[in-house]
Amino acid sequence: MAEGSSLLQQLDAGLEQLFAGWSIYTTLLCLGLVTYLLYPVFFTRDPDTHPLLLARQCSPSYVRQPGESAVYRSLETPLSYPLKSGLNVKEPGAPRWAAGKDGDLRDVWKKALRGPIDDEGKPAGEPGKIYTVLGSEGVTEHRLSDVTKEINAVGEYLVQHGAKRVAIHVPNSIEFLVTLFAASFYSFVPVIVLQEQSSEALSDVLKTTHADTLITAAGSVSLQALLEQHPGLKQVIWVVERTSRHMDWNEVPEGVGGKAEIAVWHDIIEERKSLAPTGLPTYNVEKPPPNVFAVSQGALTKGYQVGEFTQHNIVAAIAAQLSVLPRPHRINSSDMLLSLAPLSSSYPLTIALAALYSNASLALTSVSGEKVPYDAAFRRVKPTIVIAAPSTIREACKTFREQPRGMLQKYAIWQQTKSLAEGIMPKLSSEHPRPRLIYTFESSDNRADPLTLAELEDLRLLTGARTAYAFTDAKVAGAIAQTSIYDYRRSEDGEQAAFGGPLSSVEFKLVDENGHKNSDEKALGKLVVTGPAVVGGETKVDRFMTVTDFNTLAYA
Amino acid sequence: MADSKTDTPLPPPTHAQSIASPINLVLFALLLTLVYLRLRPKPPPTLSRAPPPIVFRTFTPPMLKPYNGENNMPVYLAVNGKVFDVSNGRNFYGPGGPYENFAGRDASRGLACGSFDEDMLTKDLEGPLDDLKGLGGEEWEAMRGWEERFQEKYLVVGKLVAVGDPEASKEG
Repeated sequence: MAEGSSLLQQLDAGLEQLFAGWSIYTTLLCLGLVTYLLYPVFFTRDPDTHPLLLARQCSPSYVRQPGESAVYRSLETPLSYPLKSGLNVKEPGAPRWAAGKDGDLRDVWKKALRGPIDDEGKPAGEPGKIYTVLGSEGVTEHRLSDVTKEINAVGEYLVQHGAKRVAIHVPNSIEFLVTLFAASFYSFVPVIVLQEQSSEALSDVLKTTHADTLITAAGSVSLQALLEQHPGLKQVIWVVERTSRHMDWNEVPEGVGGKAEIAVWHDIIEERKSLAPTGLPTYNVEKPPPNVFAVSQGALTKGYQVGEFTQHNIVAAIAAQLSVLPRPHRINSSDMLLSLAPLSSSYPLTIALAALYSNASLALTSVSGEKVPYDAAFRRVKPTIVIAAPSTIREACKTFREQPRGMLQKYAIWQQTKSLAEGIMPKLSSEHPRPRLIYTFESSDNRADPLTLAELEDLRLLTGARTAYAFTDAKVAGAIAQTSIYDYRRSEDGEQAAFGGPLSSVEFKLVDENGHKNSDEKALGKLVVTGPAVVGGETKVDRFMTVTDFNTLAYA
Repeated sequence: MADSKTDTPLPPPTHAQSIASPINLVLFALLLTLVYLRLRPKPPPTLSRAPPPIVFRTFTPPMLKPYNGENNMPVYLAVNGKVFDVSNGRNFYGPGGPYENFAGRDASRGLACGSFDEDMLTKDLEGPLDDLKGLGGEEWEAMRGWEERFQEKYLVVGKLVAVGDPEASKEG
């Protein structure tokens, strides 16, 4: 007892001695401590999404066939639910519960032209616009009603001149969009050809796709060589830049004469614009527009690959892109999209169409491709959504990393990196134009190294934008899989980024091949994709792939 | 003033050591610990691995027999050639349940006739499958109903073929 009390007494004395040292500094320290304890209560943000949603990014089936992996599906469309097949188009004012149609490209334009509407079908704002960025000349603004006139003018012209298959070989431009939509409204087949093809490759493409009409930039190809290779070509429409319009482009070169009809785009528009109807042309809703051919360049395959997309493939891909974005980040009428990747690739095209369908504005710049610098997106326009090739992203990240920084900037970067690791997108200063979404994509037949997690993190630090990194194939409209825009995680330097889970328009599995075998521990094999966005319903992608522990698709 | 200062006794030790006093040190250490705890990188939450998917198999009646829920085995039963994993309904289909006779067996005829009797099951496991001859329209209807219900509720983990079927030999 005495011992106990002496112990207590000692303790008491000790405490007293301790507190005897209390001074103004102690008070300050205490205040500091309390503030430090309390400030996260008021200032901490929750992670952008629940961490467990990132830990399992898609749902596998419970049963797998021997020699195959489980079938992987988007969390939006679990097994036993139908995959997303279309846009669920409803007439304005239709009851909320009425089932909508899958729709087609005409519905995309129709919705873009009508502008945003509220729940009751009343207009809720201006329709989006299309801007053409012309290097030094500035920006031209096109109202969608004017573009509709051009669609009608070009559509009528082509139908009258017997065009059945029209090859579109122009950069990202108003002419590209006009021809694509004219094809749907006036029922001819558009053949979208990637730019930068050599004359031989182009004529080869035209031959395989049986194109009878070619729309291309004036002087970009040798007409004579083309006609020699592909005599089936009946007419050529030159798209002439404003600065070269004084020249006579209707002239047919010697020796080729008579074979093909030559016309000039701006003449067609000028002649017919006053006559062409301003509204949408009448069309048979029941009869779906023709398929869309997309010719993509493949490093692996011999020169190019042709994907023949049905309207169903395309709308399924658009619908999946619309629904994959979480509600606060959906594309809306205040957005402006700019693609630094050619719209002739199905992925950028799908995103651009999704933006049109969401009444966003489009900015078109003819500089596009793999070598375009990231900054090119912000010349004279301020897009909020940017699509760029991975090589563009890689270059931008490299410059960003090598930038010299002072102590304060280093501290800011450290803070932002920490915030990303906690699953929170940091807010960056707004001195630069900042997009809010960046799309980039890896094509299955591109053998370049995929972007690393470190590069994707640098991209977030550089741009402050959420990023979707997709895996695409020539036979799948849109993408097969795409990273979650909330997935900011990174583990080690150099680790390749995975491609996220499947989109809701497809499902995939991996099948055994050449010693790459699926097991209970690991899914590994060639990728087989099925679903409404896949040409012919199913395709096998010529790559060995695996599924990570987070249920994301990655190169094996 | 200077004189008076020399007269006063030395200030108490608390004043002299005001900044490095023990209590300040303790508080400072506490603050440092908190800063460390907060800034320490935390690993993202991970989920334990999900159970691997079941491999779809081709069963013969003798192969199916052990899947009757005894000895910690899952409970399988076959309806119209499809093998269902009914382990979630162990209380009904497992040992001691009202349907226990069906566990590990071809239950088509029993479910069709609404009977749990032993004589509804195929006796000869090595023989051909029950061809379901002699079932009336209503009984077919009943079996289809069961099949549909099973498909909604349980996983199809394989199919049932007779012993000696070429598909069975593939399985090895």
